[in-house]
Amino acid sequence: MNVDIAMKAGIADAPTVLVVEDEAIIRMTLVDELEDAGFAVIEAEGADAAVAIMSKGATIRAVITDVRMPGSIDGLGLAAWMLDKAPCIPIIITSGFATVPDCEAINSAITRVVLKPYSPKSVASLVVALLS
Amino acid sequence: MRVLVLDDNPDDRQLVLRELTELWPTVIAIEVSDLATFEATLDACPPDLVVTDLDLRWASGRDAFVATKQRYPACPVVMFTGTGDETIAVELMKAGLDDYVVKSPRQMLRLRASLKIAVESAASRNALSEREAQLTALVAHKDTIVRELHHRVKNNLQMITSLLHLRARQVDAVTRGHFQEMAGRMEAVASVQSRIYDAEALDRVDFRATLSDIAEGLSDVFGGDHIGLDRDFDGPLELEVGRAMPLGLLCYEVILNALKHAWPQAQCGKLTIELRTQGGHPEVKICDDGAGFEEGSVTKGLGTRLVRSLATEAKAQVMTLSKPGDGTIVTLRLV
Repeated sequence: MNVDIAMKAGIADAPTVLVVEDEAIIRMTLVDELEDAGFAVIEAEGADAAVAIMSKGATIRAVITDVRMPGSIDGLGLAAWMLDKAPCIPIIITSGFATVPDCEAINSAITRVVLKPYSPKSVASLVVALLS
Repeated sequence: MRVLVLDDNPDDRQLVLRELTELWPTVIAIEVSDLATFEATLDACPPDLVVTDLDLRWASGRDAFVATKQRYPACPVVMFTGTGDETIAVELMKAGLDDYVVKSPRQMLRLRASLKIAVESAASRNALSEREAQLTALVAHKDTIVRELHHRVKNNLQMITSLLHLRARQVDAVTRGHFQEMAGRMEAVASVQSRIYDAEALDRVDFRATLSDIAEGLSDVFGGDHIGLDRDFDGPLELEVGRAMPLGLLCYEVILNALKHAWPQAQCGKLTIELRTQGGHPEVKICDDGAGFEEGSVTKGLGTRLVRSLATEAKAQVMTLSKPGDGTIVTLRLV
């Protein structure tokens, strides 16, 4: 979804979740589960697009991001950027690696790490828990 | 072959030069007779050997040795001296001096052998260091490949389960259930895969975490709001991948069975997963407070066949205790 369309999606009444994942199939499933759980969803296929969406002022309540994605920054870079620019927005980091680096963004109280492969329903439940 | 020769006595320098030329006819021997030249020569190009007197007048041979080793730790240094004593020799040898030859008629024969051995030993040490560096790089490269492969496997498993979930949304409720079960089985396989420790222990799995993942995933999909999930895990359980995989799938089948059949009217209930070791044997207990069943009344579906086959593969005994209206306890004991 491009930024403008995404911005429109962000206007919806339901709380909006930003899904940042470069694998379309995985992203689609997460979007379906989140929409079933009552969220509006904005999709970004990389961290750069996510930064652009958030910089334009979209009202995002939570972010789910993969770690390794093409672009100038990856998911951990996005987490670090959010720690600086949007420190109150919960972020769920999904990773195919056994471990994630021990860094400030990861250790933030509102950050959660989910190891791949995960159940999309579980991730949707985690978003509900983080926002309630 | 480039050798620095440090000695304030020209005759002794000639003595060393003669031995060097005998050993290596094409040797480039650089005679150094003051500190500035020594440091400039040392900095200009790493030598293959330094031969130094102990008392140089313009400096100490000890300082020359230290300066050489500081710049080029692998460069051999041989001290050839008429002064000094055993104490100094031992002290310098402990500090890394390659050899210490006394300028006396009885010791002169040793000089050539000493120079040769010092250079050959340094070459062996260098070759060993290079090999070690190559091996370290190779291991690091292998680790990177292994991590990358694991990453790809996990991502691909995520894609497969995603495709099953996407398809499940397009079909009727019964077929959707089948798709969700299949996706769940893939997720159980994926749970084991994702809990393989890391590149250092690729054959071991944190099964406690795996069991927790599987139970939570199933409860999310099939438990709805009416089933409470309790996990009572007593200590860690680490298993080989070859055993963790069938045991993970076995746990999946038993938990799925409980969630599908124990509360047929979607009554409120509690599902408890226990993990403990009894008499040296790890045990997983899956307990529900649901409808229970009469022994022998269970149909022989895919789940039953899977349970039997997976139990054999995981070397697990399956014990079922159930009474109508009194819930069911399934114990999986590793033997």
